[in-house]
Amino acid sequence: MSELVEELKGLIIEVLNLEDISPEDIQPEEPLFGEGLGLDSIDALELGLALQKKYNITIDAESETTKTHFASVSNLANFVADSRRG
Amino acid sequence: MPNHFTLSAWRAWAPGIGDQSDWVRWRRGELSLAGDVLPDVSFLPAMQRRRLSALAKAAFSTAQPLLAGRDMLLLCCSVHGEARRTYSLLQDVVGSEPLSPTAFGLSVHNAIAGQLSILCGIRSPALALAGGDLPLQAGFLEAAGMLAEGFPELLLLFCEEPLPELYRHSAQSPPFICATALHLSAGCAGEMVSCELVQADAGEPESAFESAEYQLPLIAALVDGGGRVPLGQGWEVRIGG
Repeated sequence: MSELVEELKGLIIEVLNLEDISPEDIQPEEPLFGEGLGLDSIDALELGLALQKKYNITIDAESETTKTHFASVSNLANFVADSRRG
Repeated sequence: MPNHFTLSAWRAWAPGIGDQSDWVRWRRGELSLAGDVLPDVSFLPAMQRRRLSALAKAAFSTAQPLLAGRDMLLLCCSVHGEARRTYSLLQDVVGSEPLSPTAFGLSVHNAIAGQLSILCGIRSPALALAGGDLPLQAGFLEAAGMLAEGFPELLLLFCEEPLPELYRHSAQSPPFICATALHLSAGCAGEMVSCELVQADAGEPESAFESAEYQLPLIAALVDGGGRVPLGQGWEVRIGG
């Protein structure tokens, strides 16, 4: 799982073009949006697209659980791992 | 329409040339435009500058020092805008790839005006112009019109980048990124450099001023502190003197 967490940190930095931010700066439990890393709604769409491309995961934008999945890197890692198994 | 106004400051950026002293050296022939250097926008927080294209960075590096936290009308002129971003989206369409929401949102012609407005906290109107074959004329006529309408001051920006290879047989673009920002205000104020918009002879047939590197004659006149810059169709702007 920690490998996936690191992979996702790298993906976030790359697709969102987070200049000056290194994987160590992102805490797995830290909120990605608003407070914390400070990502916004466009980032959420961009990140959803990247996950779809890289892991072939379909994301339901209307679903309440999607919010939870995107709350932190750690939640994203669980979501990706579960989707792969499913 | 009053055609006199004041030029209180200007900035320009091209690869290898960032500040006024560099432009003076360029004018003397000591410095040439070259390299793939990116404009320095380190004054913006990293989370704000991450979505800016190289062209938008050039726009910010020239406009932001002139705005200096003040709120004024923005006039952003660019013939092709961020055509490279649009082109990369089209490539994704061709490849049946999903489109990047960020690139899609910023591929519109007023994206740079919008980003300047948001990141510099501008609440005044912001306008994006293309200007066709006559971007300088479009920009200066619009600026003179806005000042005549009662706006006390404005920021006039020109910015261009090289077009993707595919378009080059059918449209002109400069071989490098270039941006020029001018702070203009209504009327003529004492010590400042004056600008006059003149239609020398409307009836006279002459070639339109349509060089892809149209900003360079303007920058040359700005460096010299005076000069006549042809805008096309008989119009010219007389800077200083």
